[in-house]
Amino acid sequence: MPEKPVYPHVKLRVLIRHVARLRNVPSRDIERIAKLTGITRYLDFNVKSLSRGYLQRLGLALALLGDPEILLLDEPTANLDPLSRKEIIELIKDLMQDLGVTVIIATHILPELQQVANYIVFINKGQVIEYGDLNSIVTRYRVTATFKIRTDKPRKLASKLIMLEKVKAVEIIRDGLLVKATGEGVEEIKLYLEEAIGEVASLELISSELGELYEKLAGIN
Amino acid sequence: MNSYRANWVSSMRSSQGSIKRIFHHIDYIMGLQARLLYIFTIIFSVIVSYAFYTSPGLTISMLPLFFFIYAAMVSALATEPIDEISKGTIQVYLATGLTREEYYKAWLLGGIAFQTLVFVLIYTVPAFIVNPSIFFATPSSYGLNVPMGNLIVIGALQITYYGVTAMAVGAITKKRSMAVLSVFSLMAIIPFLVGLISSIVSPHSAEYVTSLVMLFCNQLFYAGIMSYRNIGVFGLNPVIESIIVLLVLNTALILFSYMAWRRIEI
Repeated sequence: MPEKPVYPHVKLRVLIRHVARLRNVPSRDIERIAKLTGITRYLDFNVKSLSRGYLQRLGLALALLGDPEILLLDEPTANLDPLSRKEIIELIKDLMQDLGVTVIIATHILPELQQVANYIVFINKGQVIEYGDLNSIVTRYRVTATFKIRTDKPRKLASKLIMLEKVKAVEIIRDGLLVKATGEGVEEIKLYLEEAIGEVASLELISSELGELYEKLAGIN
Repeated sequence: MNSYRANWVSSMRSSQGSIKRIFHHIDYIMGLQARLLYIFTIIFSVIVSYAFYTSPGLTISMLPLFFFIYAAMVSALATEPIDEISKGTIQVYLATGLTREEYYKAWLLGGIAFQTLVFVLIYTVPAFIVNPSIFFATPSSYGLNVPMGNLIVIGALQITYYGVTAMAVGAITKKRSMAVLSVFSLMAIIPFLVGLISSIVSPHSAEYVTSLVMLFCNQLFYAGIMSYRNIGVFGLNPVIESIIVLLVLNTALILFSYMAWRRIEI
């Protein structure tokens, strides 16, 4: 999917049908892909009447024709307003879950990336400076991260965790807690959970400050 | 032996797929871009059909005029890919399964070859229905001494010549205006200026120089002007000379523009 595609001024259905024919995809798949990407009701609209967010959805729809195993997205949220960016990220997450497709995203907007990425390659001045599983990189470089802790006694655990020095914030959610902690605090929390709290079911990385991580990595190199 | 056969089958399948994609893209671009040309074609085919019944001679002599309008429209259509490059629309097609070569071939076939065929059919179909001997008729009373069949052959080759010129110039300059200007220069500006300048500088050789330039720029006019002599600037029949020059120019330009399109930066 190109970063800033300029679509021809045709109806969405015409363009999608054309790409489907180029890829030898049956035309019945058009409706399915349109539904997946949320553009069904715009199929008979002209491309020029779409907002930037919906143009990105159209780009994703075109990319998904033929059920590819890998999607390569170049700056999928560039030039979008915050709401559209959120929508596109949510859409990418849904596509990853529903279709099991591998998504490779090239982007400069790191905070959004952390919502969908599980494997990261950092590139600085054309050189790969770090790569690997997001969870292990965050732990290794001790950047601020948010973890989800599943527990059936969230209030009790929250009152104890908030007292720890490295914990920045604790939020009670439906099935546990969201704990935001500085990099150095991760080990402390783990240790605390292992020793003091027996009922903890899991500790799962939700997001991390990739901007902070990138700064650290770029500084090292 | 088996691997050779497997490679052959695989390359056949791949070229089959490629041809399919080219024709799908032709179908798509013609549906979007050639509407004006289709409207003009329908109107003109009705006029031509009616005129063949009432005044065949006038219809044949109208051919050069029709030809220039049609050639201008085909050339404008042939510059459409340049517009798609400057707007960025081409990225959408190239990112969704079409190769550069397929894109170029689709425009060459759909934008130029197919339109040339339509031009030929507009004149030949009504003529065949009314009276096939019209193909050999010469509208001399209207100032032309070339049989209609020859005019159609030269006209068709010349439309291709202008269309491919527009594509080649567009690929080099990446400017639609330059491509259109190059076609109008070939059609009229260069022959007119060369004729004017040579008549001032060297009146004795003005006719020869103008004819020579005409042969490479506007073959229909060349054939029309030289038809009363029956000997062209190279000593052959002017119609034969025009056809040979057009075939050589078209082949060279198609190869040139193909190479230019393969290297074009998008």
